[in-house]
Amino acid sequence: MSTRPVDGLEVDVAVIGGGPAGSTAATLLSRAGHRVAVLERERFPREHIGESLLPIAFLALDQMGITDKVLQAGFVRKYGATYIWGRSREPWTLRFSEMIDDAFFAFQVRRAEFDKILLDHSEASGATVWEETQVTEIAQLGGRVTGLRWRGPGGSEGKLTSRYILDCSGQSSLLGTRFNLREFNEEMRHISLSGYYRGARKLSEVYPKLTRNDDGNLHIVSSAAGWFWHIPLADELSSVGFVTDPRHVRGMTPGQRVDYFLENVAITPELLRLLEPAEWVSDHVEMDSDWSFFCKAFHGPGYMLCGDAACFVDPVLSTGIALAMNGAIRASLTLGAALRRPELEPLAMHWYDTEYRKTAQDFLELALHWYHGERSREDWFWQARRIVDPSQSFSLQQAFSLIAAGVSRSPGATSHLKLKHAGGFSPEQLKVIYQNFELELSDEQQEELEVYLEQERQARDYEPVTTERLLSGIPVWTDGVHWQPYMLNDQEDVLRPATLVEIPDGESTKTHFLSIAATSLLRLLDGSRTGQQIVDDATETWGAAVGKSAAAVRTLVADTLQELHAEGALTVA
Amino acid sequence: MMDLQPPVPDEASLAAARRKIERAKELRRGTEIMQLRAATDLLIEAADVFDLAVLPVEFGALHLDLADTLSLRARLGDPDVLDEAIDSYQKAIVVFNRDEFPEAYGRAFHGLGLASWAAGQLDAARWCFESVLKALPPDVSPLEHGRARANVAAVLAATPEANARAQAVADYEALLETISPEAYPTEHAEFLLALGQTRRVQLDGDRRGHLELAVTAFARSADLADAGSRGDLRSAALAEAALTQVELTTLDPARFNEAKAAFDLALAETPAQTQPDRHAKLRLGFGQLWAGRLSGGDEAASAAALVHFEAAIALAPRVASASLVAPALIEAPRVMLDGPTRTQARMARAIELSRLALSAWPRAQFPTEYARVNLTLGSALLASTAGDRTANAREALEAFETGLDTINRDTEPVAYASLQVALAEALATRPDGDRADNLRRASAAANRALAASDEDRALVGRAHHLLGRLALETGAASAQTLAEAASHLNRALEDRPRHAEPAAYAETQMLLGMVLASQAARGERRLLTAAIDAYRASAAAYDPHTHRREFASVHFNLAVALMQPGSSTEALAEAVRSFEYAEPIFDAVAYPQQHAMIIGNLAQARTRLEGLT
Repeated sequence: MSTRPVDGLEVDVAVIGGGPAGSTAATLLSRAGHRVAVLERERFPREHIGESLLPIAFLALDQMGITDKVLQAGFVRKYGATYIWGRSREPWTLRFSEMIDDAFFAFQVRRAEFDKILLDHSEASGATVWEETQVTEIAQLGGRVTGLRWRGPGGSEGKLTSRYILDCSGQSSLLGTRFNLREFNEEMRHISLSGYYRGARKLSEVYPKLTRNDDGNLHIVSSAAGWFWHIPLADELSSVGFVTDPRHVRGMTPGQRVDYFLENVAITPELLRLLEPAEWVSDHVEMDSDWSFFCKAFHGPGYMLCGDAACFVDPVLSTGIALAMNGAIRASLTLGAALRRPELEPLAMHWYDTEYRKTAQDFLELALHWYHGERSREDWFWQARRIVDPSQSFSLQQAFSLIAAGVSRSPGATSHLKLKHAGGFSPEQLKVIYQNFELELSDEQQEELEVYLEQERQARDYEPVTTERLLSGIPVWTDGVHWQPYMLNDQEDVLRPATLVEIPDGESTKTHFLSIAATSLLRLLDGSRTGQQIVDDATETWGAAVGKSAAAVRTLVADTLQELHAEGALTVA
Repeated sequence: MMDLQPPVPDEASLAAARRKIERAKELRRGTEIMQLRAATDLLIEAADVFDLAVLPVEFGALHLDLADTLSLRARLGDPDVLDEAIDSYQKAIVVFNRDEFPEAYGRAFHGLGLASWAAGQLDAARWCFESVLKALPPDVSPLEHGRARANVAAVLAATPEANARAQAVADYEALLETISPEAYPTEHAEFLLALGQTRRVQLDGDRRGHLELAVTAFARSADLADAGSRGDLRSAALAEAALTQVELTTLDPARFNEAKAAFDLALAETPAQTQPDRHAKLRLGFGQLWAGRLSGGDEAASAAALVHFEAAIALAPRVASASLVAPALIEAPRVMLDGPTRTQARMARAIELSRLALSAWPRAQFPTEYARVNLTLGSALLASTAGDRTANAREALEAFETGLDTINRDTEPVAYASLQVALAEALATRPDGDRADNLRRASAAANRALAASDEDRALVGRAHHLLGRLALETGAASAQTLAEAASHLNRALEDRPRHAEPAAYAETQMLLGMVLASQAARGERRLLTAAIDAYRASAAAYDPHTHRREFASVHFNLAVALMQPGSSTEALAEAVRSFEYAEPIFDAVAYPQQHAMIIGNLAQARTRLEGLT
């Protein structure tokens, strides 16, 4: 139901690509009141692989206001995943309920249908959607991207002006290619062959330990030359894909690829048992590149990259759509902040790049680990725990379930968890979030926070240093501490500037947030000034300008130093 | 993690930027707009050095200064910089949080509240003032707390929602309970003044009651200010009381003397020398009070209104903004046109002031006022007897057409219809051009007026009257057009009753009499009686002092109609009387032709009457 392209349109954000990343960002930005245009090369519905979602996708669906529509679409519910991997051919299953609750699930979707629901919703949310419209040229002015030229249905052409371009063009990564940003990972150079069966057995019919509730699970089965996915879809349909080394299929004709695919199914007994009664319903095997890459930067002047256009990890963890949609949440937060307050653009873009990259790299690390030889199940669990839970407050199984659910540093992921598992925020961070940023806490939450803070204080057995000592001595950064201006996503739809302090904590690093204003103070903390000299310098430089007396500056400096001292970020010489 | 650490500017750049900020601070001490502009430039130059990610506090502080400077400039005559002020306040708010920088936080939100208010963003302004209120420390003085509350109430009072306005009244009343007159007499008086202003904008319920309570609050404020030797505050309260009386008097004309006394008192306490702005506002209000009495044809009221409007206009060079007195440039010419005495001197002044008003109310910003001024200018030009009549008429037509180009028919149908009727009347009497074409265009304009609005009865009456007249002129020979003319004129009489507009009523009755007489002459004899009745109604309505010629004309027409063959003794006696009314007015010197006709007809009437008696 998209409209015909119009020459000369001006928008805040032009989104290239109407897949899950593009439609999620377009919807969120439109709902926030920004003018958005989506340019999609194809006409929806169209087939696409990548049918297995992770529960964290609900975060995006909720924010888009489309959860009910997706629930009503009748997609198969996925409560976990069942793996046969490594030397042991014993299947093992993880269930999302191990981490959250019994109701925690995801979907196995027909992408043709799912993507269309999302894109139609973007249009209903106010975005302009042009299908069968290809971007032919990127416009730049003074090194900044300012718009694009397009070619639409029937050969019509035109230009579009935008304050930002969000590239969600998928693995073709239009801007990543244009600006030569892509860096491929030779270790993760795979290819997938896929097609559809109808009438496969249910998992619970094949594996006695599984129940009917597990029938919607993603099934991963390693084989001699690679590994298979089996994704049960609606109407008895199953998506089956084979991920292998591209050298194995080099030079094959399409017909030979079908033969190769079916031969490998035939020599993988667990899969064969599932597919025995099923009928191969595809007329060809779809071949897709699964060559992992990361763009050097996920943003540039006037543009951002999101989803597979920014980076592609590997299909083994089914993280594609989760990354795309959660990247789109971050992208919309970033663009929202930059559109609202242009002076925040550098900080917001930096935040986006850092956070999105960290999440994707977490998945990449686990995927690499997965492929590296014949390791035990516990080994992978340990790896997941190291990535997702540096404070080690979860069990191994919980940590793995968490990352398998996509909850790895996802924006707002904490909303699904209890406060005490608040996404790895330290107690002091929570204090900054709740007190400095004026969040209203319920009595129950307030009580929980107090108990948590007290427990943390007791656990650390911290003794505050006196103000006199802080001011008369020279505060010195602890080794390895690093700080920088950053952004804080402490509320669902708001990105605020803050000062991030990273403090070594055993083998990992803990993060601590101060207000953005603290950046001015921390610049004075150079290891040569005493606390009092910092007070004097701050008073002289900006005290009067912000209406603060020397005494008020003194209090502010002392409080900040005390807070950093309590976190172990500095000592007083 | 990739790092974002933009380079810290070198010491020399920082020092230079700080010098610019200091210099800007000195320039900002006054209210001289050129100096404020120079301060703005310096701060913008300095802003290049302070990056949010590098020196955020300095960044925020600079933008606070810049925002305050821009906001002040916007108040003093650079309205275009208001958006920049808002943007700079928002930049400061990004940096300063409530706990660490309560002072800067409060200043930024207060400034943003004022700027948002000035920009018409009342919800934003309210949110800002509420944020200031929330940020106050618990040990803040009652007075400071009261002032912060008063800002919230003031925004509520300015919102269009009736509930919010009512809430503002309640807030001020609660505030007055806290800030007692004994402990804080001056502040109590200030809040009373604000309460009065808030009551004055209450539209729901008993409007007159609200206004009376407002006057009471102003009076109490003035008394308290007097006791506290706050002459400026007393003067403000008295001025508000007087200005409130203008509307009260329209609701209750019996209050006129009370209102007049309020203005006299306020003006006495507000000398033009020391308080030109407020004095000008009072003069304007006083003029409006007098102008409200014009409908009775009161020349004294007209003269008094003009005295005050002219006094306000004379203060134009001395008031802070010429916009304060600009309404007088619209209202004075209207009084000159609507008043009972349209002297040539007044018409010349009306033209002069209207031309000034066109500059004071630019078309782009004030389309409604601009159109209204064009209507007045055109009307004054048509009423003027000086200069080239053809040129005046041409300029008047241009003025009406400009007004019509400016105004939006759908959103302001009455103003649009007024201009169309004025255009129609001007075309109907245009001395040059193709007459038939002028009349056709006049008829089209009058019909457009009727299609646009039937809200203003007097205007509808004028349009129908004109259409009747045009039908008579363009189709005198046709029975159909005569019937059409009669229909329009009868419709006009419904909308211009004698008690409301005696002269207009009389004019339409006379015209109707002429149409009916023409129809009678074409065979419809029964209509002659109706024609005579119309002439009689017209003659009875005309004031022989103010409308001498018209009075004489209608009596002449009446007398001729009464002299038809077979007239009764009474009819002939009445005809003689009517000729006798007309004869001295159409005297032999000024109107020799008319005089001769009257004399001839009068003699004939007397002869016939004698024959019958």
